[in-house]
Amino acid sequence: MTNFISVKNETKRYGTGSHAVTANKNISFEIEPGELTIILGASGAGKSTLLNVLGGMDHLTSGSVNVNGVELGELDKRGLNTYRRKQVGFVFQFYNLVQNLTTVENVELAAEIAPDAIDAVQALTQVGLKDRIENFPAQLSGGEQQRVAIARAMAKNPDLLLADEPTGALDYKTGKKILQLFQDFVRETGKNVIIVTHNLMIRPMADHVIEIADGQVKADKRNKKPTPVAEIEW
Amino acid sequence: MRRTAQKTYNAERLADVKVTSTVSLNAKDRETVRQLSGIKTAEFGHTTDVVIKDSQHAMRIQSNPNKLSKLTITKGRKAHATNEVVLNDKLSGKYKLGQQVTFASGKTGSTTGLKRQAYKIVGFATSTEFLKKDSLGSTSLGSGTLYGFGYVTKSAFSSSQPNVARLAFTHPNGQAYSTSYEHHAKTLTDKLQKKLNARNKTRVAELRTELNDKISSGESQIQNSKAAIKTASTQLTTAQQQLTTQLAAAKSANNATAIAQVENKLQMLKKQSSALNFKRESLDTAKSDLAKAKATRNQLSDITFTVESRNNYNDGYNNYGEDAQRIDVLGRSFPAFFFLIAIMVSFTTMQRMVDEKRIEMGTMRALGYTKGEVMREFLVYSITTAVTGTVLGSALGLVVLPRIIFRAYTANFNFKVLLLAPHIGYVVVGLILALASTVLASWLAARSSLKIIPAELMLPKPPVNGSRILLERIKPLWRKMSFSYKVTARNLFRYKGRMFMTIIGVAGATALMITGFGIRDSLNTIVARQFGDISQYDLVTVYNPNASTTAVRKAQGAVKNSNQVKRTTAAYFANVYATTNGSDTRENIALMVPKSRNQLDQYIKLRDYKSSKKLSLTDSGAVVSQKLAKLQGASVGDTINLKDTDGTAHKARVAAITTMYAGHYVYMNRAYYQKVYGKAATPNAYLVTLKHSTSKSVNAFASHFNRQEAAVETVQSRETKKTITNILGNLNNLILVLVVSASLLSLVVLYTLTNINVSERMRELSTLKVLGFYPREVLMYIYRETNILTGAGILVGIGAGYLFHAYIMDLLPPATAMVAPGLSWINVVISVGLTIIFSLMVMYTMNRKIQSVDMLEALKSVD
Repeated sequence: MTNFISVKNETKRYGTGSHAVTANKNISFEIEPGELTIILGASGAGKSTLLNVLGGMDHLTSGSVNVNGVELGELDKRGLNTYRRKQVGFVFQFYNLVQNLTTVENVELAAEIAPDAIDAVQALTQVGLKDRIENFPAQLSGGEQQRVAIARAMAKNPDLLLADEPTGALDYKTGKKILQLFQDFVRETGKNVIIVTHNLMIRPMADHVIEIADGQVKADKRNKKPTPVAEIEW
Repeated sequence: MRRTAQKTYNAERLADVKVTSTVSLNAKDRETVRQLSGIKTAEFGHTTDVVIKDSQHAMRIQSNPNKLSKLTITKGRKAHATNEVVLNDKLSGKYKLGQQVTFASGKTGSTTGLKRQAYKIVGFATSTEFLKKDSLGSTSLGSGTLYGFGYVTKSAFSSSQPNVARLAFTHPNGQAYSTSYEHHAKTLTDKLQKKLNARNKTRVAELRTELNDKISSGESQIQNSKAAIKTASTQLTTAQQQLTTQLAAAKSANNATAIAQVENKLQMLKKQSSALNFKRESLDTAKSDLAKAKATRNQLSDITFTVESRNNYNDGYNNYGEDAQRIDVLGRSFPAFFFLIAIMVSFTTMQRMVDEKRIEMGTMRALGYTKGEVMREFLVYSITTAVTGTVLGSALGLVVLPRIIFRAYTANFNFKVLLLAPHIGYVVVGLILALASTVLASWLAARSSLKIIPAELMLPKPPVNGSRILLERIKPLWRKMSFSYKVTARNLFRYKGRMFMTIIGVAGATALMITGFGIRDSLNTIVARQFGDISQYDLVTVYNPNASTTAVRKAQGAVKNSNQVKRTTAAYFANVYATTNGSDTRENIALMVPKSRNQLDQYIKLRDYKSSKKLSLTDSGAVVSQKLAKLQGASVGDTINLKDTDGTAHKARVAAITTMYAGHYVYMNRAYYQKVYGKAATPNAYLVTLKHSTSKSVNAFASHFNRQEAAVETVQSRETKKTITNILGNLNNLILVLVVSASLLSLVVLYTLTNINVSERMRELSTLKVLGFYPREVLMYIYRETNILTGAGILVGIGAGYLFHAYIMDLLPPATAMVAPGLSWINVVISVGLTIIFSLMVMYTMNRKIQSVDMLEALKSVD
């Protein structure tokens, strides 16, 4: 089976002994190439932990997480660093743009370190910000800033694009535009996008929805016919 | 420091001026001294230099002072009986109370001036007249420097007439070392010297008449007794012949009575003849007395009557003053920098604190606290820190540091306890600056925050907006710059204040280190260049050419016939001085007129101070040492005033200026001396280079020479060397303190600024990590700018250090010494190296902080 991501019995525990908190317990799922996946869960359900592990920001305690042939459990700190650098693009809830750099420079920041980077201006053109490349983040609206962040993630030309509550800080309309970008990206490039959110309403747009509760997989459903973002209402 | 000295001077009532005379002071002299205007107290005393028997240790023995320059007894008691003596405190390690010490005359054919030879030690003491522990003063005996001093009762001196007077001013016009005091002392001393010169003339005239009378009466007496002896001896011879004939006649007649009569007569004749012999002997004595009187008459012109202020009669007083001045120079310039840095650091820190408390402020405002109440919280905090800081700083600055410096500095002086001066003024200034930098900073920051409505205040401060920088506008350059440098450039100009602080902090530290090391280097070069390249002789031996011919010949022989001597040349040597307008200090000058002008170069290399060309003495003027010319503001062609010890001035033209690092010298040839002084420069000294120039052999040679009757003094090159080495030793500690504080400060600046930088950019850093930047790249993202700033700081620091060093070296060295300008590259390398090491240390700590930044921070909401 040529799964893009396969997670088997992934467990993540924080702390040791009696103080140990198990954030993820025996999580297993598989993601196929070219999928737009949504990981759904309420606050504290363990979805952020899962995101951290998938994004190579944290080590897993036991089990196995294989992303595109890379066994994350076997990587050391440096290995995870390289993994983040080459294979993952990250979109944050609060954009995390460097205020002191112009739009294009923010994208270059990521492009600079990735081996197969896309040109920064091209990436910005894709997200529809061609005219704003010389602006500073503070001169952009929230939606525009998030688009810069997406451009930054895309510019690295990663195998996997992870988004943490990408619409959390945005209004309804803007949020929709952002989600549209993700959907288009998946369709056009055939790459994988994983969106972590607590917003149940955006579920229909995904190819694959994994629901997490109490640190375990509650539901793992595939959507044969995902709804275009434009048609979703919430 | 000065306070300590002043207190001791006051306690011992150190004489303001001292009058010394080469002959004892008679009633009239004393009257003159007492009548001098501006003098409140005058005390007369005895002084004589002797050596400790069977050694070369020269001691100055003085009569117990009662009113002025009193002793501080450290052990035992004062001398009461004529056989008791009090020695200087330092000798308490070598001698014990109750021990006997025997003095002897330091010169052949002279007396000690004391009634007895052996004295019982009854106490040990210190005196402000002998402040310096290691160099008590110079003497004409032994090695040329005093080994110790002693105090005995007045009656222990053989002469009833005193030979020294100590005076106190009616109005001292201020404390010791104050400008007003020193100025007053100088003007008054000058006036007194004139009066004394007049008195000296009369005195010499009186002595001359006295001596003339004595000589003429002696001569006539000798004539008379010569004639008498002649007659008597003729009579005796005749009588002898008659008696011999009579005796022969009587013997042939075998007349026993006649024989007895004649033999009786012969006996009487024998008695008469022995009486005649006695007369002859007394004639010889009279003759030698006459010769002595004649010699004394010859030396009448050598009789001087000098008055000197503390600065001149008391080496220690002068040196201590100069040392204090040196500390002043350093103390004025270094703290300025420290303050600047401290203000900047506390300013930024306080502002940062207010920024961090922003949300708290907003909440308080929202809960209904007034602006004033919120503001009060910060003001109370900052005032507390400022006051605490000032109290701690004052304790450190007024008690601890002075102790360290005092200990370092007075190691050579006889001061026991440091008297700490509460410099209220400085504390107040410090407090004001501290308050300004903390309170003002927090007030300004809090005020601007409080202007914002509470609701907004509760939200985090919007990050500083990115802005265009000038560099960006230079498109070709900007386009060529690599991405990371673009980022660095943007960050550099984002916080201009911090940029300048880092540069100033690093530059200051570098500059201070360069200066600190430079001071040491420069003083070292004095020793190296002066005694390695310029002075090639070990000592100058001065004798009195007016002494009796045999004495002079013996003194000359002590130099010329010694097997210790490598080479020697005769010269005229005199101590003169110069004064500068507006300055109260005398520049003591050694005037040298070599007998043979070709040989001088083997002893002193006279080189033009600009072109380094060899100089020769000409008939058109004198060769003057560089520092003297500088102090006098004289250049080639100008004239300078050279003053004799009695203040008589002579004008000399500066024909050339020679490089000289230590001491003031004026060199003339014999013809030019004749022109300036109107008399011939009779050689009275030898410049001597010994085969072995160790201190031991130089001392031994000096004492051998000083034992000669005609010996006046020896001037050792080593002494100057020792003085400079001492200053160097004292400065080393001070420099260490300065360099350490400078380095600490630069560490603090770098740390604070980088810390703020990192804290403020936490989010940025964690984002970079999530994006997959390697640790090194993350560090460099922050540190590239710090490194550039440090580099800039170092460059600025080298420049500033160069200037600052030049400034300090202009003020710091003793007046007699001159330093070679410029810095050695080793110094620069060390200073820069240390700065780099310090910034690497900060970088290392910062790296740990940066690497421990949690990536998950990036995911959190902005707060």
